[in-house]
Amino acid sequence: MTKYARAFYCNLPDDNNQIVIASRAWNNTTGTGPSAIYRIPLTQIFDDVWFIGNHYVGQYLIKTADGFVEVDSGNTSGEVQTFNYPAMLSLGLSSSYPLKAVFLTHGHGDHDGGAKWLLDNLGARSYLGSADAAGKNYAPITIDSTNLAMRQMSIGGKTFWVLPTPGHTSGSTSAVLEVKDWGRTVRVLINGGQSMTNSIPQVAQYLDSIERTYAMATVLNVEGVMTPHIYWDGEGAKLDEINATGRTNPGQHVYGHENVLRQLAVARECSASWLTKLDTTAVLPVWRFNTLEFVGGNPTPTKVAAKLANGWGPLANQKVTFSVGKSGPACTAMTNSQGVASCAVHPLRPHKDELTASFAGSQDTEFVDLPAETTAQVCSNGNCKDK
Amino acid sequence: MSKRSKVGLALVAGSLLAASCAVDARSLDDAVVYSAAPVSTLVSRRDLQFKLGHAQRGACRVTLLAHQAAGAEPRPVAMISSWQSDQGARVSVHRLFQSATLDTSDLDVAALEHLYALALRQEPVARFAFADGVPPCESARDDYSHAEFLRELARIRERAVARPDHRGTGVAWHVVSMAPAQTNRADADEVGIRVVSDQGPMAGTTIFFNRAPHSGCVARSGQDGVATCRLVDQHGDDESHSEDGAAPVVATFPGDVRAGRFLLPTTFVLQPAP
Repeated sequence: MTKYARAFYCNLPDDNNQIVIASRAWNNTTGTGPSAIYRIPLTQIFDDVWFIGNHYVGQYLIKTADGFVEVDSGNTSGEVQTFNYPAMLSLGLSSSYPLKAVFLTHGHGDHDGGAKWLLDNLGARSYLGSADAAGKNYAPITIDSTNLAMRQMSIGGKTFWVLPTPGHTSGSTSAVLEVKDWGRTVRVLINGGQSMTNSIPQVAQYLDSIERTYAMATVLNVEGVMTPHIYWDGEGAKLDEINATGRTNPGQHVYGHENVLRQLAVARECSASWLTKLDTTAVLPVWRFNTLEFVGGNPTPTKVAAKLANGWGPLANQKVTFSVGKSGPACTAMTNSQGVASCAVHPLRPHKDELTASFAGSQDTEFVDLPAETTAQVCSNGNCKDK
Repeated sequence: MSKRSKVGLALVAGSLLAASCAVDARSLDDAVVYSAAPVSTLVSRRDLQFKLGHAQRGACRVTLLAHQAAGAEPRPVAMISSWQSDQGARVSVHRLFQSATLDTSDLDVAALEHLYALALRQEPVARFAFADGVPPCESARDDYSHAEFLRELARIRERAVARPDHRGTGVAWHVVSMAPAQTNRADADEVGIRVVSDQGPMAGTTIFFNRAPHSGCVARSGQDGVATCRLVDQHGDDESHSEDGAAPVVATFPGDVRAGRFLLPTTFVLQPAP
């Protein structure tokens, strides 16, 4: 990790205050002065997405078939005029290829400070959580913050799965959208707002929001993240890397589904920890991130076994299901004291079938054991390279 | 874990209008999705199942606290309504049954303990109305501060614990009080609070200060029970919130859970200097 990547998903107001304050010094909006070194040039991160901003906060420019959609609007109108507008011009902004809409993660000035300029000069309306919309001078189109359900919205003609995630602000909204990574469609998460306060109800909301975000990322099979505050998850280092050596394949912002869920699970634990500091009577179960691995390499027709474990060790007495596809042969077994479940699936065809082991998750008052799944090709002897 | 269920509010007699929020609990009868109530060490009988149901009615957020006996539908025992009025945030809390009408004292105590845990998660700067088993219009008082309301709940809970038929352990609840402490009045970011328990000033206690939208600090109290610190904007857009200095500061005492003695978590709202 580089100097910019603190990766502190916790973002707790006590120990991390100094980190936050330090990162605020990177919020250069003019391109001048000592902090200008923290500006990040227009950087392509996906086939159709560019980042622009600084090491504190940035915006994402998304190219669609007939115009741009922007995520967040910059700190100020001056920043937009100096950086975002020229960036869009360089990418083809014109009367026939306009900025169609802006999705605002929440109503703080470092996210919506340029919304009025974009409305007045480019005619682009901004979408904002209704709970943050009071008093805004850019006539936002509101996303109902009181409806906490995930739903699809067309924003500037692009499909967003939006999820109101109050906590950082009452009107924070997270979203998932599809982007292209070297031609492959990838779903990425946009976090609606990071960092917690010292308020019990707000932190309780924040915790609930992260738990619902985890559920959204799970059901939508999210593989990547685009965070406005790039210091939050080390994304700044990835942008530096892209600018130094170019985009990788898969791109730097494609973390993989499991890693996205791990990231959110860490963020959830941090939020739970903070809530129990503010209210010592709250009893919150620990979220445990589980992994399933086939025992002894790939499964074979005579050996179907997988181990379920987490940071605490093996997970015993849990049901694991083995199946070929969704409707193929299957069996279920309970894990033993070593976390290993084993049963027989008939028939299994070496080098033809893929076997999936899955754990649906479980919970009690102490722990929430998160679901886990793994898939591997069936081989004759545990090693598919050696037929 | 969640269960979709009819509320069955036929159990609830009379008008259940929640003060100015004007939500009739019977209107929630269409379908409320219940999930397990948050777990709290305050609740002495965790074997008694309590559920939470939520509904949004216009600008009003309604939370139902319900007891669910084995094999039965959830039975609402309290309703919390919150909304924004011209005067600021408002919360109306309505216990739907008086203590004596609940099946057992244990159930009554558990409901009150859950209610305290839920009340703690309400907006501290709100003004609270409380109707205890009577229609809200007959409420004796409808302008509690958060701390006053929490104290009132603790008092009612202590009464319920003292009932002869109460069989639970009933860990003793102790109320902690906070009051403003002298700070540099010229600096709106300097905050201080004095923390006092029934045994006098509390030393070594952590107090969390919060000022909307996102300024905060944490302080430990000295021998005199006074905790002071300087608010820090935890986000990067402090210049866009020029109203910050005029916002109230909420001090939170996080509670102290020890065997046989709970010091209850509570809050105190420090109003800005005029």
